[in-house]
This record gives sequence, C-alpha cells and structure tokens, in this order.
Amino acid sequence: MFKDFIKQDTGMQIYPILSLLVFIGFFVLIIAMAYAKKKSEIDEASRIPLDENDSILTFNKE
Amino acid sequence: MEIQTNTCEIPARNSLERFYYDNKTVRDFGIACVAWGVISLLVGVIIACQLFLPRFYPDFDLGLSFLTFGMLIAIHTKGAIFAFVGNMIFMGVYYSLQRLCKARMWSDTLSRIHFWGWQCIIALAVVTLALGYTTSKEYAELEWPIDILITIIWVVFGINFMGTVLTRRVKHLYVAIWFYIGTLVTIAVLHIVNSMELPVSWMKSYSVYAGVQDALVQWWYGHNAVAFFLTTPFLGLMYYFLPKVANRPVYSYRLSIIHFWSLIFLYIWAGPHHLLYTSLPDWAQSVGVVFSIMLIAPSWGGMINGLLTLRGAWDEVRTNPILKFMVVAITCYGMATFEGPMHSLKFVNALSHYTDWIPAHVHIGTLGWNGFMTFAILYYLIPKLYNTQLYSKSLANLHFWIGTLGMVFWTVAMYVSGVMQGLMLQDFNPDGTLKYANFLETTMQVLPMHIIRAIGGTMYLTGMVIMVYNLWKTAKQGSFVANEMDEAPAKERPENDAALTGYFRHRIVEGKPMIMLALATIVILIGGMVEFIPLFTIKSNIPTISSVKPYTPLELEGRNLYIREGCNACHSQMIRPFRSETERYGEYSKAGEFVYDHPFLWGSKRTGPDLHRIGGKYPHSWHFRHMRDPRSTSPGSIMPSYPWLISNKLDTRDTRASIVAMRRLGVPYPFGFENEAVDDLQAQALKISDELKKDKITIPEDREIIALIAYLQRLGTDIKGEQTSEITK
Ligand code: HEC
Repeated sequence: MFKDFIKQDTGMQIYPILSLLVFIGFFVLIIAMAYAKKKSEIDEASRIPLDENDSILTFNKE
Repeated sequence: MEIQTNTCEIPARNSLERFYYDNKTVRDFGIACVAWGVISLLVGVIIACQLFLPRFYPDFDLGLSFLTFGMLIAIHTKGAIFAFVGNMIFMGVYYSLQRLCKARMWSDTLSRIHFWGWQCIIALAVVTLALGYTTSKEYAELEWPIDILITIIWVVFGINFMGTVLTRRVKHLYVAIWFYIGTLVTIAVLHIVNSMELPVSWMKSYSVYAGVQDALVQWWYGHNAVAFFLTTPFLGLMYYFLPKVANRPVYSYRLSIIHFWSLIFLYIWAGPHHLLYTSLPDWAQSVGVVFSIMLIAPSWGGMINGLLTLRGAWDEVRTNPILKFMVVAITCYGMATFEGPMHSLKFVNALSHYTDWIPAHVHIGTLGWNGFMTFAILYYLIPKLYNTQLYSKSLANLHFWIGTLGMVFWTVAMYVSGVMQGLMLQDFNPDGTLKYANFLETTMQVLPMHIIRAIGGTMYLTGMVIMVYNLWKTAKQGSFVANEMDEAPAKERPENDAALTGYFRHRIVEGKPMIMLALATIVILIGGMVEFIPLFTIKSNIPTISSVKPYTPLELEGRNLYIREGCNACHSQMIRPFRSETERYGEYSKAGEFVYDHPFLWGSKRTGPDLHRIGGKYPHSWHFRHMRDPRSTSPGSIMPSYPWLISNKLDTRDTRASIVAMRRLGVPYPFGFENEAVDDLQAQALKISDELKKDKITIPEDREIIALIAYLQRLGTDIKGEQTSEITK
C-alpha cells in the first residue's frame, strides 16, 4: 500500500520514507527513555494524583 | 452559603507547609463551561434544523443575516471548541495542576485576568461573527484584534501555569502536566502562525498566505487544534481524573510517557490529510497520509491505558455514572482516532471528504470524547468544590443514557447520509452521464437523515439541561469552599541542612519543566517545518499559470462578501480530479489558480455544489434570483435567502486599502491602481446592472449583490480553454 502513496514522480518521494525513519528513530528513543526510568520512580510518579490528603476537608468541618 | 476558607485552628504539622488551593477560579471556569456549552449546543441544534427546515418553511431565517447557516455555524464551532471545551480545559487544569503541584496557582491576579479575558474573547467572538467579521479560516475565523487578545490571554495563562509548576512542592512532574505543557506551547505556535494576516481596517484583514500555502497552513492549524485543544489537554485530564475517580493509579505509567511523546510528535505532521486529492503537491499529501496512519499507535496506546486502568473496577463502572461517562468518552476517543486514519486513506477519503461522514467523525470526538469527559469531570468536581454529594445519581444516569442515545442518533444518521450522498454523487448511468446530475436531488435523498440528526442533537442537549439542574441543586445543598487547605513538606531551600547538594538537586528539578517546554516545542516544530519550507520555497510545487490574473476591485469586494456571509461553510471551491467531479463541475482545480487567493476558500464540506467553475455557468439574472430566493430557481433548495445583499449598498471605503494590502502581499496590481480602483469598480458594476436590465431586473449598480455576482462569474474562468483535462479516476 505504501508503494502507492510514494510512487508519484515528483522528486519528493524521499519525504515520506525520510519522515518514517525519523519517526522510528524517535520512537525507539522514547521507549528507551521510558524503560530507563527506575521502577520505584515510576511507581512514585504514578501515585501522585492519589496522594492527596482528601481528609482535611471533612476533618475541618467538624 | 459560601465558606471563604476552610481555615483550621490546628497548627500545621511539623515540617509541613500549609497553603490553600484556589477553588474559585476552578468553579468559575466550570460555570462558564456549562453556560457556554448549553448555548453552543443550542445553536448546533438550530443549524441542524436549518439543513432541512427550508424545505418546509422557506422563510426560516426571517430575513436576518446573523441567523443564516453560514454565520451560526461559525458561532457553533467556536462556542463548542473554545467556550465549552476550552473552559472545561481551564477548569480541569486549574484544579488538577494545583493538586499535582501541591501549590496554589502562582498568581490570583493572573487567574482572574485569564478567566475574564477568556470570557471576553468568547463574547467578542459571538458578536463579531454574528456581524460577519470573519477571516473564513475554519476554527480561526476571528479577526486580528481578537487574535491579538487571544495571544495575550494565552500568555497570561502560560505564565500563571509555568509559575505554578516552577514553585511546586512535588518533585515529579506527573504525566498530566506534560500533556498540559504540550498544549500550552503548541496552541501558541499554531495560533500565531495561522493568524498571520495583514489588517486592512480595524475589523478586516487578509491572510498573508495565499492559495495552496494558505490551505496547508490552515489545515496544519485545523488538524492540530483538534490535536492540541481537543485531545492533549483532555488526555491530561484523563490521566488525572480517571485514577482519581477509580481510586487506582493509571495502568501503565511508562505507556503514558510513550503515549505523550509519540502523540505530539506524530500529530503535527498529519494536517495534509485534510487536503487529499486537492491541488496540494502529492508529496505533502503522502506525508500526511503516512503520519495519520501511524497515529493509530499512540492514540490506541492511550485509550488502552485508560480502559485498563479500570481493570478490576468494572463492577464500579456499572454503578458509578461518572465512570460510565468516562468509559464512553475513552471508547469514543478510540473510535475517532481509528476512524481518522481510515479517512486518511486515499480511497476512503475520495468518498468521505466533503460529505456528512466528516461531521459524524468530528462529533464522535466532540460529543463523545470531549463532552462525556467534561460531564464526568463536572459530576466529580462540583460536589467536591461544594463539599457535598451529588444531588441525584439517577438524574446523572438519565443524562448518561439520553446523551448516549442522542449521540448514536446523531452520528449514525450522518454516517448513513454521508455514505449515501457520497455514492450518489459518484454514480453514473450506463451511457456515461451522471445519475444525479442535479446536486439538489442528492440533498433531498438524505433529508430524513438530517431530521434524525437534529433529534439526536436535541436529546444530547436535553441531557445537558438535566445536568445543569442536577449540578445547581448540588451546589445549593452544599457550601462552596473557595480556598481549600492542604499541607505539604516545604520546598528544599539552600539554607537547609544539606545545603549545597540539596540546592543543586532542587535546581535541576526546577529546570525540568523548562527543558520539557523546550523539547516539546522542538518536537512540534519539526513536523511543521518539514512540510512548510519546501512548499514555500520550491517554485515547482505551485506551477504558475500565465492566464491567471488578480481579481478586479469589484470581484475582490464580492469575494469579501462571500467570506462575510460564510458561503464557504456549504460550498467548496476545489474540484478533485475524478470523472464524477469533472463531469459535474468542470475542469479539476490547479494549484496555480489560487495564487492570488488571500485567504484560500476551498471549503471542507459540500452541503451545496462546488463553486470553483461556477463562472459563466448561469446568466447574471439567475444568480440574482437565486440569491434573493434560492427556491425560485432551485425548487426545494435548502440554501438560505440573502435579500439584504440586494438592499445593502456596497461599502467601498476600504476598496483602496484592500488593493494596497493585496499588493503588499504580492498580488501584482500596478502601482497607482489603488487610485482608480473605485472607478474601475463602478464601471464594472454598471455593466452588470445593465445586463440585468436586459433580463428585466432593475437594480442600482451600487448594491452588494452586483459585487457578489461579479465574483461568482469570475470564479474558475481564468484557465478556460487553456488546458485539456487529464483525469485520474
Ligand atoms: C446552508 C448551506 C448553504 C449556504 C450557506 C450557501 N449555499 Fe449556495 N447552495 C446550497 C445548496 C444546497 C445549493 C444547491 C441548490 C440550489 O441551487 O439552491 C446551492 C447552490 C448555489 C449555487 C448554484 C450552484 C450550481 O452550480 O448550480 C450558487 C451560485 C450558490 N449556491 C452560491 C452561494 C453563495 C454566494 C452563498 C453565500 C452568500 C451561498 N451559496 C451560501 C447551499 C448553501
């Protein structure tokens, strides 16, 4: 299918291939980045929204 | 009742710093979101009715210009995107950012300026759009003074946002904040680049780009407004509120990181998929296609991450209306982001583009993803802000069902209508003639679908009204906490024990959001640059056609009227190279024909036929009668009547300035021509009114209709007889 997109003879056919390569490079980089992070750090970060001290509000109403 | 602060007599716990969250701004954005939301959707229902009512009540518009479809649709889309969804973004960001940073918003003054500034922009938008002040560029219709105001208010928001992030009491930047940062920079870049326009008067300007280039910039903007206004901030909200409501962390935090970077990187390239088979060079179209298809990966990664967060919590989904809204929202996100890449496949696009299939796709996104996520957050936050419980869970459930059903009616009707009309327009008789030679015939066939769509929209709106009642009752039974107390460990300061190392670590943490900001900017600039630079610098991308000449002053004024009335909301000016289109409309459109079009007017939806080759198709008198009452020439037409074009005198005060502005933008009007412009205009107008007289229509030559006719008759005529067509399909 990709061949159909790319075969037009405008001298620009290198563009889609180039952008595909750029993206694959970028993608590999971010996956590496994401997995380079320590598990403890990831767990800590993922719990941030849940860390709130929701009890303060009710406690204050007493 | 309102509690100003929930102050606490007990002193702060050891080593903890006490501070207060600003809930007032959060609540105010919430109220604005709901109020503008109801108005925008009401306008939506009205325009839905306008697409079938004229069939039964021709005088539906009451002869009022600001009630025509072209005007109202601009208000509807601006209202839904920037007022309904926009205010929700700010509500959610102001709430979640403070909690995620354990800090109050950086500046209360900036929060106030942001809130009132944004409402002011929306109010100005409604008024100016209703008066016909528009640039015609979709989702960027507002004129230059408002564009400047938007920029200022966005910067105010940005400063307030980054100030809060930089003074936070939490080490990590939670992934939701990344999505907010991505939104912040990209919207700024998109808005500024696409709003580059040369003012002619205080409420009129011309895009600095022309034709194909303008189209590329516009759809780079348009597509990414969807990406960075309707998607990334909402993903941020999803990553905050979903774990909160479900009370469990997001399924995979690593996946959310990958989701973020790959999404912002890919999205920015995909704009050209709005311009498939147009005069945009093929290589740019191909880039758009490739990136659009790759976009499925991060989008679905995000959707799966959201849905899997609820693993083990499905029992709760059944009973908790908030989670129900969220699940449907995330599912709709998945559907829309699957469908988008499918529309980018050329063979699908050939059928779906310009039809009701596109609004169906868009409304899965806005009604489903944005709307339902907004409702979920409102049902979650309003009780929290008022320190109470939701007034009625069963009303919320009712809202959920009526909203879902309304959405199903809306979208299914438009899918059917889009595919039906698309197929009919391509249909040939065995002898090679068009089966539906008259465009209007296809409109009639899909009319019932439009009625169902309006019913669906009304149901969705009804659900919203139920929500307003429910939330209002909730607020009444609670007491508003304007400043909510929280405590967190104080930030490390250099004078603390581990002075130096601590200080440096702290600096690095503080530097991270700025690095993030810079990285996100670079990532989104790459895609834009790679597409723009060749198109703007390499001449062969837009082959010039020597017979294409600038518009005469009268035609230029007519073009301004076409823009003012929003004709481009229903009419395209871009004939694609298919036999079904060249047969119906004439020679397909060439890039070189648009070099003087500031702005381009290709349109994106064909509710009426394409107009690029309308010039010379009918006599002047036909256009006169048709504009006065479309039903008189085209029985059953759903096009609005434009009687005021006949009574209004053409305003020529800016004609001179327009010519000068156009020349500055590169249109080759000879020097000094601006001085003869009005004379030239009057001479041409006189000729048209004389010709009308031959058809027994007496009309003074100084009327707006004359200019509009001049423009319509010029459209697409420059290359007549120049080239022979080569048809690709
Ligand atoms: C609500 C959508 C809508 C709007 C807005 C609209 N039109 Fe139309 N237009 C139609 C439809 C539908 C038709 C086909 C039926 C007919 O001829 O009236 C049409 C037909 C036409 C035709 C005839 C095309 C042909 O090839 O026969 C012209 C010219 C035209 N419109 C011009 C305009 C202009 C100029 C404006 C703005 C002032 C405008 N239209 C606004 C829907 C619209």
